[in-house]
Amino acid sequence: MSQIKDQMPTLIMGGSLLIYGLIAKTGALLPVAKYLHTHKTMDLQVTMTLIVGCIAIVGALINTTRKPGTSKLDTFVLRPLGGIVLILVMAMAIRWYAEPLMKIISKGLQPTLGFKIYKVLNLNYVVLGILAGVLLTNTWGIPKFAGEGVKCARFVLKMGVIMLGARYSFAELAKLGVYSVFLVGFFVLGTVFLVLWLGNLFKQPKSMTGVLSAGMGVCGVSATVAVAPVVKAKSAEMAYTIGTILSFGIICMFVFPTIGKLAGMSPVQFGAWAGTGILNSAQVAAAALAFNAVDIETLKVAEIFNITRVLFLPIIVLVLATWFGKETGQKLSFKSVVIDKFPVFIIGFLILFFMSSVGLFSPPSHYKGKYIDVSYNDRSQVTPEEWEVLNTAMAAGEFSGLTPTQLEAVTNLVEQHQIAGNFEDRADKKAFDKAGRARMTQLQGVLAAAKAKQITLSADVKAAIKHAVKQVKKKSKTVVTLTDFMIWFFAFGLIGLGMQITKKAITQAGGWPIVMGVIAGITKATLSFFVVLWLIKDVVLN
Amino acid sequence: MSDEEKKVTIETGDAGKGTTELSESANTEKLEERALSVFSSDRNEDIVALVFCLITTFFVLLFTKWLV
Amino acid sequence: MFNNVLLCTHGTDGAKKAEAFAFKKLEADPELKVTMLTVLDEDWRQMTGDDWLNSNKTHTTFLDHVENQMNEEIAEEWQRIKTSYPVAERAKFLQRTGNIAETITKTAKELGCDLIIIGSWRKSKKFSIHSTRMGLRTTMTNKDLHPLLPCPLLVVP
Repeated sequence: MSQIKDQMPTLIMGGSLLIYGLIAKTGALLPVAKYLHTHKTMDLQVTMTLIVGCIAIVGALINTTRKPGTSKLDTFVLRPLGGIVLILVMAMAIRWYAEPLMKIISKGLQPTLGFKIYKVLNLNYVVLGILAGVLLTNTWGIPKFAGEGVKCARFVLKMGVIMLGARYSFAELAKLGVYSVFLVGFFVLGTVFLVLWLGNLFKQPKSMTGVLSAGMGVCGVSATVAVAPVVKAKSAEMAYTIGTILSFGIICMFVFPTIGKLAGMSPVQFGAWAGTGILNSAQVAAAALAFNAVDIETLKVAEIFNITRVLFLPIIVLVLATWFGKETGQKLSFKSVVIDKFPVFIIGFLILFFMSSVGLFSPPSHYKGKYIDVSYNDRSQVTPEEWEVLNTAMAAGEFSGLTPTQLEAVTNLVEQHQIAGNFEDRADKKAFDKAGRARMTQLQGVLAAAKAKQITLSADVKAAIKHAVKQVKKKSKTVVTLTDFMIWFFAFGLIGLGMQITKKAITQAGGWPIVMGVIAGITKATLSFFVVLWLIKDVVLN
Repeated sequence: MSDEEKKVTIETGDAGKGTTELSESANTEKLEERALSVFSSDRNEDIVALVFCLITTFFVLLFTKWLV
Repeated sequence: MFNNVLLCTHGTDGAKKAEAFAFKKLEADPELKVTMLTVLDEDWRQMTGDDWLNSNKTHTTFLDHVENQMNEEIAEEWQRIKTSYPVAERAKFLQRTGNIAETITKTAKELGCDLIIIGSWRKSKKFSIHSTRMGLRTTMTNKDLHPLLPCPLLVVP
């Protein structure tokens, strides 16, 4: 009987997902989805809810009939099922409902507040997901049925990082790698020494400055946890330090994207800044996705910096161990710190990177899965309304300021309803493509001229031309799908990690660590902000 | 307090003036690890994550590239 | 009136008042049994926060370190008590791990105590850079403790 009771939450969630999926399949939810601007995800919503719902119900039913044992299926599927379904339900609710609602509400509040809450606080699904996780832990606590499943968060986040490997090119990785090694190296060592110096200045015990310097320098709580036993930190010192780092990190997660947007940082610059300045590595990913959730440029940069930091961690542990080794008598060998702790998932990241480099996901002629397709296709056409706008503007002579080649491109767009080559050339693919691409370039020139105010075009006309250009810029379906998977993995992992942040841990902040931590943290964030703005100007990712 | 109770000696560093004795039954429960993992080792976790990623990638390639 | 007393302490100013009170009673009454209880907060487990980079082994090493460190600090604390109150030699010293309110009441039940003595609530000194304490800063609320009480509770001001 108690087994049925234990499985009730999973059964209810599975049932609700199934019902939702079936209703969505009939199309009854389309008006709601249109209002929320999520109608494009409707197919995905149906598939995902039906699959997850079925698995949840089947798994829960198996769990009710027999007690989970210790077999592989039990440990990895049946036991964690409840938690996995819970996090998935949260992720779906946030991506399809909470985030769009937040956008609509903040748009509605804009006249009264004068700004968009959504824009200022970057309340996209990633931030909302972490917040939801934090809220759940600190109000009801992680429900009992979900305890095992929440433990999968780290695993799924690792999968996200591995999948991200598919999005880099050699040139990008080489360039970002160099930047990250220099920036991270400089700031890691700088902060470690700053904190050690501050500790000396304020006459604080070495064990305290040891944990704090690692935490502020390398990667937050992870470094503190790794270093504390090495430097034999006192209990209060660990508690103060972890509390300080957690609260500082959470504040950073909200402040960094806002400052980055206000300062007009480019995605690459922001990724580098977040990767250097934010302490906890999960929060780096969160801030990067908060800055730019649709395109993953920022995440790409931030994650390279993150990985560099991960690789720096053992070095810092070794350095601090030698530093304190004389007093504690503890000896750490190179092997026990560096080789035994080497994160294997980084090799996975590299494997996916090599697969992508040899052109497995998109042919070499495509740049990172993006390509231009000017062949005749319904999906490349402008909408009938847009065509009407263009046709009227044409008749009214609105395009008089254009150069002859630009005018030819616009005229051809009106004739063919899409950017394309010459109809008579359609058998000769090369010539056809060449003419189409030339027209696209001309149309982009029209838009640039309009932006520079050399010519005046009505907003509707500009929008129509922009749409036409956008329609022929296709993305490889493989790359888009892989990215979607990766984004879901990150969302799942970050919600699960959010559930590990407890109020009790945060409120341990205090004492000398908060004084020294705030000094060191703000110094690092400010300095790295200027260094990144000064140093990183020319890296452009596509 | 019973005198027969067994004692263990603990090093307490400078502040504790050397050593102190406490009853052997002092601390029976341990802080258990609330690890963020259902795997027995990290290497297993990383390898399974990689294999899952490769399977996902294979299916994505199958349905978006090779079968279309 | 009471024969078997459970004294809960964790080294704060409030707890020190409770100690002073209990040992005065112990001095006055040779029949009284006093058990000193120090609880190692199980919430140390949550202190690894959202760390996902470290291996399970590193986590375990960290928690082992916390436990050893706490044992040392608790032992020092007991040493201090024994030095300041010679009569404390007669008391029994006990250390447990777990949720604080639950562990206190569970221990009281096990030992058949008829009175639990704790210190009173004091303003937190968390932002004072001179505060010294051990372990996690926790306030046990009456709401958590009261429903579990097996015997009377004495709060020493």
